[in-house]
Amino acid sequence: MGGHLRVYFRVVRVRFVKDGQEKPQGGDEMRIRKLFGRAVLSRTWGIGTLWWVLGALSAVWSAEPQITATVSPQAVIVGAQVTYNVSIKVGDAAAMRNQGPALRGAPACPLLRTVSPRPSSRNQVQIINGAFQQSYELTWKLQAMQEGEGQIAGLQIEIGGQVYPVPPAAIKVAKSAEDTLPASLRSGDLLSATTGEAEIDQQLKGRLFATLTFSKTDVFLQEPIMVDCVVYADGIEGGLIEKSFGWKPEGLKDFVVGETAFADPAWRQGTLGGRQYSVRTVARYYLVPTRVGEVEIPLTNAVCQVQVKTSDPFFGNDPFFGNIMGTQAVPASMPVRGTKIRVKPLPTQGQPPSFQNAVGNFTFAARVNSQAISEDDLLTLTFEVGGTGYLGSITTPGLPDMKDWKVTGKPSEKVEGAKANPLFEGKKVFEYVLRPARSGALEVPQIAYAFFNPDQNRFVEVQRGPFKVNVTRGQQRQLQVATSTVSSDSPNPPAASEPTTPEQLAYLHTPLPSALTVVSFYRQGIFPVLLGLPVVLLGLAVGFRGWTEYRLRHQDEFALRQAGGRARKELKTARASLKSGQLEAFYSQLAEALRGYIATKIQRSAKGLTFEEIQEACEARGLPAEKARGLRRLFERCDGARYHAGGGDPAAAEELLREAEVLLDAMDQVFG
Amino acid sequence: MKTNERIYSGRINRATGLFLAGICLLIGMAGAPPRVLGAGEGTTAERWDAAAEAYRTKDFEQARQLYEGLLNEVSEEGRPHPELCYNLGNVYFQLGQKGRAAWMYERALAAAPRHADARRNLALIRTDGANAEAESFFLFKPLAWLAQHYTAGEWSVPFLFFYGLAAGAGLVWILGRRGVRLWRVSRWVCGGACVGMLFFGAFFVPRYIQTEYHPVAVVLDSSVPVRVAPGADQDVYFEVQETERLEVTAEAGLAGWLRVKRPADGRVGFLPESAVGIL
Repeated sequence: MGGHLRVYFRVVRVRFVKDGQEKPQGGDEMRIRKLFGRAVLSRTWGIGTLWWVLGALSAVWSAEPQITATVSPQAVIVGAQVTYNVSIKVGDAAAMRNQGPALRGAPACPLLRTVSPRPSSRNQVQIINGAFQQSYELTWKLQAMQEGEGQIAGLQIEIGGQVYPVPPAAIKVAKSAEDTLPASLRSGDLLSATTGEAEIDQQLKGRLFATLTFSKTDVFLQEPIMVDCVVYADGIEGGLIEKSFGWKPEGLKDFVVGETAFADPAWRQGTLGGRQYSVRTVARYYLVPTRVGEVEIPLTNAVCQVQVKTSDPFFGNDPFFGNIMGTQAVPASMPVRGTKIRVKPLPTQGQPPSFQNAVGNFTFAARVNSQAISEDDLLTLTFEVGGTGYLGSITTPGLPDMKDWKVTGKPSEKVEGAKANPLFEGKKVFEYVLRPARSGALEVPQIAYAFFNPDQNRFVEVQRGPFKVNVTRGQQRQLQVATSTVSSDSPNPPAASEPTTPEQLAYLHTPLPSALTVVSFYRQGIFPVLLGLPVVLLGLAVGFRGWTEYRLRHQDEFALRQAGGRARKELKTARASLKSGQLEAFYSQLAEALRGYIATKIQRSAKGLTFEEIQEACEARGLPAEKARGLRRLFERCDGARYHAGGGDPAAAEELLREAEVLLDAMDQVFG
Repeated sequence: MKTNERIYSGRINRATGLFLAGICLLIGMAGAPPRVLGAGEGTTAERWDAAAEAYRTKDFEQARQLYEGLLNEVSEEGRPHPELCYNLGNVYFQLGQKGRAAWMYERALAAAPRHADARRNLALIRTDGANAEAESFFLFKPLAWLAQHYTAGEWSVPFLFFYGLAAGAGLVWILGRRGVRLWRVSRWVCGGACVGMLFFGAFFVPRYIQTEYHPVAVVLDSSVPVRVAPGADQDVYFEVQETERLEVTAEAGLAGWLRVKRPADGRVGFLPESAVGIL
């Protein structure tokens, strides 16, 4: 055909038009406007609509039921029973109408007879990603009657008035159990699982076994080989315990073995010798050959646990009572054959001088920690070699002639392997510590590192540097306590696993500190003071503000309450004026004190209050008439004395003050 | 004129006296100021120089004695100066006492987390990865790094600054006249300072709790057995190695034993106090 369908999705900028005010712009909007009239959509609406359209389409698609048929086991001997299972998945549309499947016909195969004409069924409703799904499982028991190969067919399912055929399932009936096995099992290349119990082993024969798959069998020295242990299972009646699988390569003295974390929890369908199996990878290892030649990987054992029916001491496996003891887990061993690996030596042609046996697809990086240091400082030269390959083959990069530098101690080495595959993926970091031999503009010379890439079958050499470092004169040089034990001429310093040496230490610090004791700021006594002071101040401020506002709100009340006190204070001032001989001021202050008091109590302005009004107001509030008259007389005497030519008599003024105090007490009792 | 005469005659009036008394009280509350060691005065400087000289001449035992003598002079309310710990750590290292060296470097780093040489020398000692910390959520790592980059004392300074600023602006806001420019500005300043205070407080408070209430110990001897309960006759639970860093979870009432937790695997056990150095 050569042709294919292309589907373009385009996000269209569209929006609502309100009251015809906003006009759409651009070709897309115009087209949409033509299509939908004024109902121009917003972007949100566009995405929402698209979502619903896709949802509706998926509902239509999922309305088509998915029907699968399996037979287990697929190869049996004459007289054995098989399980024929039909699985039907119904999507949203049909499921929502509650339309279950109806059977038309029955499973038929000339080699088998139906043991139970009515199938056992199971119904399950699921909501997956918001979609409603209903699944049915129908199971028949069939018995093999005659030898041959055939198909189970003839069954049809009716859902929602529509009839769907059930796909055929292949079955092989053999005369003996041996004949049901794939050729590789018959020949002994693959070995069935064993439990040590003959009856169970007979059931497992050809139904449970494991095999090893190798990524390569023809490799270079130190080139990793990936080995998977794959389990094949078919028709294990009680099932397998999922987490009990295990396999480990053993007896491999010519290999470095590294386990790899991987997750393959799902069983998948696989075919072996024309027979379908459930297949699962249960373990993955990397093997690194350490010897040249033909190396054999021996027979090993994978393990698992099989659920088998427990033999019941009371009822046996009674067809009525069943097996009340249930099942038990039996450990099974699955022997797996190895293979022969041809290990080639690394080519000698084109091998760079810096090659140190690193094999893999690596990168090389180098850096110095500073470009300007003092003579007293140390310079760290870091190498990073990483990638995929056997990290164990990466050795410390050698240094060229370091004439301006002294190498202190041995380089450190750190492996930063990937979590899943720490031995074969990641990087190695090496650190050399260098001391400058002199000051000036120095240079760390160019460094080369080579490795063999087995995928490309060639050597790769990477060069880094040179690195320029400006070294200034130092002052503490006399404190160096030992010279390096590593010769700077040595291209291969000792391995990093050796202990750290004292000459790698940074120098002693000689300047005397200002104090031997350092007291943290928060430990000093001032800290809690500084911490508490703002709280106290804020508390006081809030209190003050509240009090001020309260006083403002209750101003009149406060004035009434404080009128007596204020009047007495003013009388004291008047007394002081009297003592100092200022009679005019005395009379004025005396009159003002009483007038102010009365004005506050009767809540009127003191200015403009006449003597009559004062007398009336006092009498009206319960002051005895005699006292009220006395008060009026007191005011008149004050006025008289103020305007008297001689200024009045001090003795009379003293008498007047006492009278005023008595009157104030009397008014206090009346006014409260 | 009277006031001037009093000043000239050296007498202090009442208000000035109260003010000076207040200052003295504050200084008294702040504790005794750190003892200042002048370059030429006293024996401290001489011993310091003598220790350096002993180190230079490779008389490490003498250097150790001198530095330890100086360390004993450190008052209890404070920590030893990081340079003293660092130098003593170098001496221990030269004497082959790596556990003690690691302890001293840790003490130096506790007082000065950015002490590059102490960090470097400590890394030289701990090359075996035995002190790997438990993996934390990746978003916490930069925050933890920032928190550990400064001491609790250093974090307390900006915290206190913003705290004071917030309080000052708060006072203006509470007492100031409503609606005027200063009052409006004070609200913003107070809000901003509160944010700053919370930010720095979020670093200061956990760092303070960690420093003051969660002590760390460094294993001094090689291969120390950690037991299931305090007591030499108790079963050994696991072993810790020299220079390993442990969290001390209880030290009171255990009669010379400490309950420690290994951060790498979270295992908790007991070991004798003498086997570790506490920061």
